[in-house]
Amino acid sequence: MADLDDNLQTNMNDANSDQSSGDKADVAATIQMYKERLMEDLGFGKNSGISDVEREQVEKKMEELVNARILNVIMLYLPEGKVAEFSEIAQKADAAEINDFVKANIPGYEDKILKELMDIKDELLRKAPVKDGK
Amino acid sequence: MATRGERRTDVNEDIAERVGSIIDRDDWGSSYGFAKPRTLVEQDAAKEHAEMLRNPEAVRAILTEMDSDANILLQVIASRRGIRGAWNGVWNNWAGRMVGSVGVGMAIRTGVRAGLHLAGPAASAVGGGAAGGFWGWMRGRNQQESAATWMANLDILSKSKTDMSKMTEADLYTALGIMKNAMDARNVRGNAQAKLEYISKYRLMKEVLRDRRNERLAENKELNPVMSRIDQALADAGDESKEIARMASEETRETYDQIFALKRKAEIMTAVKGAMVGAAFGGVIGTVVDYAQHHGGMHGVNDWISEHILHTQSHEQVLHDALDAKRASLTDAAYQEDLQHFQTMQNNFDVYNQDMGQGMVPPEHIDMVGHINAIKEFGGDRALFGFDQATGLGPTYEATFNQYLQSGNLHEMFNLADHSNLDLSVAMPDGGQFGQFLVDNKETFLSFPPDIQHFILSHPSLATDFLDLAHNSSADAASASLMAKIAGGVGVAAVAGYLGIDKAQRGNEKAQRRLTDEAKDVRRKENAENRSEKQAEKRDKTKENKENVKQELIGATVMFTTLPAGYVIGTRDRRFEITDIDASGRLVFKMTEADRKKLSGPTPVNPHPEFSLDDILTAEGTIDRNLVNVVSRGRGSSPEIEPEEEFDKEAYEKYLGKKFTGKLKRLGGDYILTGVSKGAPSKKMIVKSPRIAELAMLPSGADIDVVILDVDKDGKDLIWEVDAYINVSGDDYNLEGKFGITDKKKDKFVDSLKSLAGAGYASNCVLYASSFGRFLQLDSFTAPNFEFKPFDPATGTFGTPVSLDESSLKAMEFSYFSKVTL
Repeated sequence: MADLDDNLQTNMNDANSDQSSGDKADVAATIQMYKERLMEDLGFGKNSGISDVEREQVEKKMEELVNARILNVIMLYLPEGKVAEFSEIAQKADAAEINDFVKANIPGYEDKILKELMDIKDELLRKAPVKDGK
Repeated sequence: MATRGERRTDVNEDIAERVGSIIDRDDWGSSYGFAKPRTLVEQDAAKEHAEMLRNPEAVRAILTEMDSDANILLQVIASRRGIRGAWNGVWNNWAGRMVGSVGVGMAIRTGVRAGLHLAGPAASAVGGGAAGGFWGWMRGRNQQESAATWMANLDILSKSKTDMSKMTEADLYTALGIMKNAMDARNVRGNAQAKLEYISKYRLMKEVLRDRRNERLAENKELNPVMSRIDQALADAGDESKEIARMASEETRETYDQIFALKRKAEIMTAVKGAMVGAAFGGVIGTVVDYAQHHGGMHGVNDWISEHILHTQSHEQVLHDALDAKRASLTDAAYQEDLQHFQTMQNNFDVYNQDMGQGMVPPEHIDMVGHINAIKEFGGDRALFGFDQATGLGPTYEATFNQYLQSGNLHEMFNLADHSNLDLSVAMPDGGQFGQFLVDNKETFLSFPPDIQHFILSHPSLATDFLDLAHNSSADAASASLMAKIAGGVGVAAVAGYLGIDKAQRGNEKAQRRLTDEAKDVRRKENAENRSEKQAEKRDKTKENKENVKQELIGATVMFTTLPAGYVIGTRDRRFEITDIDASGRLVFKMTEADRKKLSGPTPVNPHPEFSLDDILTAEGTIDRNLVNVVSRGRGSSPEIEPEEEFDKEAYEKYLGKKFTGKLKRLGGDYILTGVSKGAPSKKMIVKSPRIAELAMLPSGADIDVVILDVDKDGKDLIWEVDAYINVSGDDYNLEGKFGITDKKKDKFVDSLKSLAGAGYASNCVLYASSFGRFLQLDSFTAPNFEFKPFDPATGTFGTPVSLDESSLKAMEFSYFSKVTL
């Protein structure tokens, strides 16, 4: 809980500071928020008893999945003529520039991302087996 | 007469209705926050149940599978949208690959910046509807934690009514509000007992406030705004809190039973798993299976056992202890049935132990076959056990594999592994391959007993652990330790989980390698083609330039700026007339009378400098103007040579990019699109396209859509370069390729169809098999059958669905098409 609140608070504080600073840290922190929330729903909360190693493994896979799924969203909606340009921007790894670009070229980009995150969450919770023999 | 169950249902419904009515008239709008207790406790039960039984290994496997699906879809989308080349640019560098994470991080951050706060309003304004749902979900935990924080800070749960009465009205009111929010959002976590405590404190707070209200009224004091609102609420609320608390208690009693039953089931499962640890022998397994099957809701345990049962060594004591522990825990009379079964198990086990002790258990009772099958299923090989299948004796595979390993022959190791379905290319934590890892650690690996070696080969993910252990102790001690780890310390569930993970990981890694390899192949091919094409173009251009130079130079007068060393410049200065360029490329100059004299004198002197054509050309085959100036041009460049009349495309530009439909026919050596749709340059068009010959083999009634890319002229005929697609019920499909009957790549393709169907993109694929005479549009996949909708090109309609099982599909010869958006 503390981590999540800290993340939120960090981001809230950052909202009042220079937006260009700490982008990378923000990205990591916000993804962490999502992962923690999802871990909570999966029953792997802080006090669930799973080991740190297992938690790290699951969260790493989560991150890989989210990355691939969001790439899919971008690729689906990015206008064909913009892909080459996006390729160049992506290689710079400037989070703000990437974000500006996709926002400018994909209408409703944030909505689409958030919907995808919810879809991932729903799909994972639906698929994750509950071995009760049912 | 109503049964007990029916009566209980009636009571429950009555309770729910009354709760509903109380909620409706609650001016707090909070419904005491906990909505219908039954719903909440059911949710808790479900969540608790899930939390009890989900395991990280399984979730990782699901995530891996989902990730694999996403990667496949990524390739499919790139291919379908025709942006594979550009997308490879993104995908081929780390930064590009992490773009998804960056995107999501930034999107979430925007939401945070936009006002997500602990007790703030919903942040749905961040985006559209999806954002509302997302932030609601994200805030859910946050809000519940907030309430918990408030309670913790105010120490609500440990406060008596007296303690609460010392709190300020503002604190009480705020605490009530936060608790209400959490309850409204149904995010009060914990079991039913925790909820009742929560409700109890909520009620106490209201009572404290009510008392204060009464005190103030008794003293004829004016109520402050907060108290006024509380007063109004209390006036209407009656004693609903008591009622709700009572009902909550009643409802939760039943749920408690459910939860306890679930926990009991989990314990039983644990006991079964514990039994598995020691279940190396058939008799015990049979007892366990019998026990497991006896209990409802545990279907599949038999399969679980057959899939995950591990050999290694007998762990009688483990099983014994597990059974003892379980029996000790079952003291409630309600579980006498369980006790009886455990007693049966224990009795059987005791008998078995006695038999073992007296040497009465024949070797064939050892469940070696089951173990071998299980290992094989997860990627190992029967031969790995060192048994020759024909004779049952002697090491075969193992000895050969170890021999290659000993000599560090990775190539042969991989070859052998391919035959046995072992995957030595699995990535290790350091990024290297498993095969190399084995070679690097061969001394340690070879020091292990065979069954440990088998296990490591089948479980690359555990290899590092084993080697680490081995390095910390002697080989013997390590072996014993590893054995314990496999069967005891790690636990069967963990090992079984690893088995599943290994399988999923291997599948995923293979899929990723395949995709990566395919992508690389495509790029390699594209690059090679580009290089080859460019080189050919360059050669052609150089050749063409050279020819032009020849034409320009023969008969031309040139002046060299630099002459070969030793050449004496005479009266002619640096000027020469070139009469020819011989077969070797040497420039032949006009021989003047003075030149002849020089050549025929007593001391012959070459009157001309020695130049070859290449000496005076640039790399592109043009004249190097730094070396030579052309004073007068040769005959070949005379204006009487007319260039070929160039085809003027301008008149046809309006058709470029346009789409037309027609029927494709082959006439002579040409492919003709006939009956072309309105607006086309002609009713009949000669078309060319990379796969046009294959498209012409399709049923003649098929509609072919073409998009015009270019036009050229061959004599009097216009040749239209097009992209051509089949038209299936209005959608365009690109011909991607064809699989023969024995094509090995077909298996992977069929697997990708499953992914496609699973991702909801089934209709993106159409097959054509001449044996059907129709196009088969993929509709769905439900193992083991693929469902197709047959499309008749002659009528333009879909026919009765066709079902093909996986093996039938793999045995067919077919062409495959993918949907494109033009």
